[in-house]
Amino acid sequence: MKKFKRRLSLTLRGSQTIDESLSELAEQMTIEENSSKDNEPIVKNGRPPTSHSMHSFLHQYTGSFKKPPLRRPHSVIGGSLGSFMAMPRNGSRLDIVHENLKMGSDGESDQASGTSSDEVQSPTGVCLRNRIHRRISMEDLNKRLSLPADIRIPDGYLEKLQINSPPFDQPMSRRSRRASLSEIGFGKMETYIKLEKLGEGTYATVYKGRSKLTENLVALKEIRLEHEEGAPCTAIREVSLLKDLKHANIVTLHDIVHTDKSLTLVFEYLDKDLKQYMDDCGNIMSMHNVKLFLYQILRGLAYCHRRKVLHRDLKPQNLLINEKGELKLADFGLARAKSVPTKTYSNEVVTLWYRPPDVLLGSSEYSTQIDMWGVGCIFFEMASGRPLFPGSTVEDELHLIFRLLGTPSQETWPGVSSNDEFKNYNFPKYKPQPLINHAPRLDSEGIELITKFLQYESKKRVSAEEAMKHVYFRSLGPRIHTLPESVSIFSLKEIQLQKDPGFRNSSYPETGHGKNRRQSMLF
Amino acid sequence: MLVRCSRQGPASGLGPPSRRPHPSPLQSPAAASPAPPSAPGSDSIPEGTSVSPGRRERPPGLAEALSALGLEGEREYAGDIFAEVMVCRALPWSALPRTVTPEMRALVVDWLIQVHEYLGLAGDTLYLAVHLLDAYLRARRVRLHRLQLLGVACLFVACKMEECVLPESASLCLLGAGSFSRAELLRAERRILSRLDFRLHHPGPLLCLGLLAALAGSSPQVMLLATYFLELSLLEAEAAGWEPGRRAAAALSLAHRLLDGAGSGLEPSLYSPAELRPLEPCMARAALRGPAPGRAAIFLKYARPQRQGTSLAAARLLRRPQTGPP
Repeated sequence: MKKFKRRLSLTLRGSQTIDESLSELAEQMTIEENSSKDNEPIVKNGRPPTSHSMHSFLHQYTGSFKKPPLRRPHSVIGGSLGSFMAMPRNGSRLDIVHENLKMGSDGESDQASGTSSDEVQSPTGVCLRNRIHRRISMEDLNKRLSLPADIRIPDGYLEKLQINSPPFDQPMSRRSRRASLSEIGFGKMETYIKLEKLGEGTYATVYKGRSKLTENLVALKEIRLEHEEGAPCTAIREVSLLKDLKHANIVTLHDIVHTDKSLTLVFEYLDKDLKQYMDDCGNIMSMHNVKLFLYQILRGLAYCHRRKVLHRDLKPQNLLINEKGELKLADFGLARAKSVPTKTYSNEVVTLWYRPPDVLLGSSEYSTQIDMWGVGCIFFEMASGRPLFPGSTVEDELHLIFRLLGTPSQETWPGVSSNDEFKNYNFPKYKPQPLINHAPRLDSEGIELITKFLQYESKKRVSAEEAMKHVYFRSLGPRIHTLPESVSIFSLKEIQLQKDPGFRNSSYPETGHGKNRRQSMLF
Repeated sequence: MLVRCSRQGPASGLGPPSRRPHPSPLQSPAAASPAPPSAPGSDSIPEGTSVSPGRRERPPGLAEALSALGLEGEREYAGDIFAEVMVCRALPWSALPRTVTPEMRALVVDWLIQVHEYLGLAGDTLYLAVHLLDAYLRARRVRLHRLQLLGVACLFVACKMEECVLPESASLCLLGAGSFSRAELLRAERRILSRLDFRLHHPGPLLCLGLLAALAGSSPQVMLLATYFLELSLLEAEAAGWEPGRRAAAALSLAHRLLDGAGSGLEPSLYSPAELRPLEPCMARAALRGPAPGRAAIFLKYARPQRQGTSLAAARLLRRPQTGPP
C-alpha cells in the first residue's frame, strides 16, 4: 500500500521522468505492433492486457483493510471457461453492499433486501428521536413519497411509520424513500394479482392484473430472464427510457418487480389497442376520431423526438386506447436501439407493414423521420379501414409501396439508382396513383398531410412537430397546441370523441378477438 | 443513446506542431488569447459554478453541425437535442465512499478501459459505464474486493444500453481472471439496476464533443487530441461532477490551443474561459503523467498507430513550453 502510494505520488510529481517513460514506451509499442495486438479478433481464451495487475492491486488494497482477500485461483489464464466456472466460490453471495447483510424474508430478492435498510429497521436511536412527532396523515405520506392520490396504504403501515420513521419534516434520502415504497408494497409481486393472460410472446407474457394498492387495473409484462445473460437489453432500454418519458400520450410505467427469475413491468392498463379498436368498430371509424387519434400519436411522438428517442416500431398494436379515447404510445423495446438486427427479433413479431422504404432497402440511418412513414400508414389505415401496405416479405412490401406511390427513380428519390438492393429487385416501373382513390373518406387536407408522411426520401418527410400544425387539425381549435405535456387533450371541452359509425354494441362479446389481444406489449 | 460520434478521420497524422512559439497551454485561455469575443450571457456566469439547464442558448450553425454529424434529419429538433445533450446535469458532487480512494477508482476505470478496448466496444459505452460506476458509488458503499465486479457489471449494463452486439457474460468473467463468477456478475447487474432505479440514460460527453467540434469546424487532428483529453478525464473522480458539455468543451479548447497555438482556442461562446479553466489542468496533468502504473491504459491506447500516437504527441506538445523559451 505504502509502496503504491509512493509510486503514485512520484508519478504525480515527476514530469521530468516522462522522457524516460516515453522512450520506454516507444520501444514497447514497436514490439506490440509487431504482434499487431489491436486488430486481432477477440480470442475467447486470450489474455486480456493486465487484468491481473489490476486484480492484484485491488488485493493489495484489500489486504490493508480489515478483511483478508479470499484466495482466488490466479494462474488459470488461458484455461478453459469450464475450469473457471467450476471453481468453488467462497463468497457466492453478492456483497457489493455493506449494509444489507441480512437477507429479506423472501430469499434474495433485491426489493426484499431494500426493505431491510437501516433507516427502517435499525432498532437503535430512532425511537427516541421520534416520540414527539405529530401524527402522520395519509396526505403527508402521499406527498412525501410522491404516490398517486388514489393509493391505499396497507393497514398498519401508518402506525408502523409513527414509531419507526426518521423525523417527518426532514427531507428523505433516496434510500429511505425506497425502503418506504417497498414497505408499502412497491416492487413486490405480492402487490399485484394476475387476472388473465392477455398475450404471450417469445420474451414476455402480458397479464391483466390488479394492484392491491390502488385497486386499479394494471398490465403486467412479465419478462423471463435468460439464465446466462441477465436482463434482456430490450427490457433495460425500455424501462430506462420510460423513466424519462412522462407524457399524456405515452403509456405510464408504474412499477418494476425484479427478481432473479423474471422482470415484471407494471403498466397502466388500457382497454384496447388501435388494432382492436378498429376491429370493434368494423373498420369504419368516425373521421373526427381519426383526427383525434392521429393528433395524439403525433403529440406523443413529437415529445419522444424532442428527446432524441425514436420509437421505431410504430403499429396499431402498439397504440393503446382507453374508453375516453386517450391514445398512448407503448412498447419502447426497440426504441433508441442503434440498429435492429433482424435476427434478434423473430420474424413473425416484427411487422413489415409500417416500415419505411429506405429501411426496407437497407438504410441504417437513425433519424426521427423513420417513425413518420409508419404514422402515414396508420393514418391511412384508420381512414380507410384496411392496412395500406400489407406485405408479407420485404420484396412484397416494397412492391406494394411502389405500385401505389410509383416506382422511384433518381429524380423522385435521389440516390436510389445506386442502391444495390433496389437494383437487384428490378421492380417494374409503376406510375404513382392518386391516394384519394384508396381513401375516399379523407378530405383534401388529410390527403395532403398523408402525402407528406409518405415521402420516399426520409429527410423530406414532415416531422411530428410540424405535422401537428397542419391545416388538417385546424378544426380542433387553437387551445390544443398549448396544453402542458402531462395533460390529456380530452381535458379541453371542445375535444370529444364521437360515436364511430361501425361500432358494435358492447353486448357483443369481445371473445372473438381474445386470442390476439395485446400483441402490443410483447417483444 | 441513439447517436454515435463519427469515427475519427483517416490517418492524417498529428504531425509536427507548428513552429510558432507557444505560450504555456496551462495558462488560462483568457490570459493567452488577446481578446476572446464573449457571447452575451456568458459573462455573467460566476467562475466555477455550473449553469442551470435552459440557460444555454442555441448557438448559430447548430443545424449545420448536426448535419456534419449525419443528423440532418433532426433539424426540426436541433434546439431540443442540443439542450438535452449539452445541458445534461452532472452527478451531484459528493465524495467517494470512504472505502474507495480516487486511486482505487482510477485503477478500476483503467482496467475497464482495457476491457473496453479489447472487446472493441463503442466509445459511448465506456463513458456510460464509468458514469454508472460513479452513480453507484454515490448511492452505495462498496466492499473493496467487489469494486472490480461492480465496474465490470456497470460495463455489462452499459453494453446493453449502447451496443448492437453484446459481449457475453462469460467472456467478461474470463477477462476478470476468475475473480468473480457469472452468477455474481448477474446479481451485481440486478443490484445496479435496482439501486440506480433503472435510470441509466446519460448522454455522454462524446456527442457533446462531436457537436462542439462540428460547430467550431475543428480538424480531425484536433478532434482526436480532444478525444484523448476527454478520455483521460475518466480517470479523475472529480470529473463525474462536471457536466458532459463543459467537460467536452474543456478538452476541445485545450486541444485547439495545443495544435493551433494560443488565441485559436475554441470560441468561448458556449462556455466562458472561467468555466473551463478548472477542468483543463486536470486533463493536461493526466496527459503529462504518461504511462503511470495503474493508469497507463489510455496512454497506451492512444499511442498506437491507429490513433496516430496521439498520447506521445500530446505529451510532447504539453512539455514544449515548459522546457523554456525556444
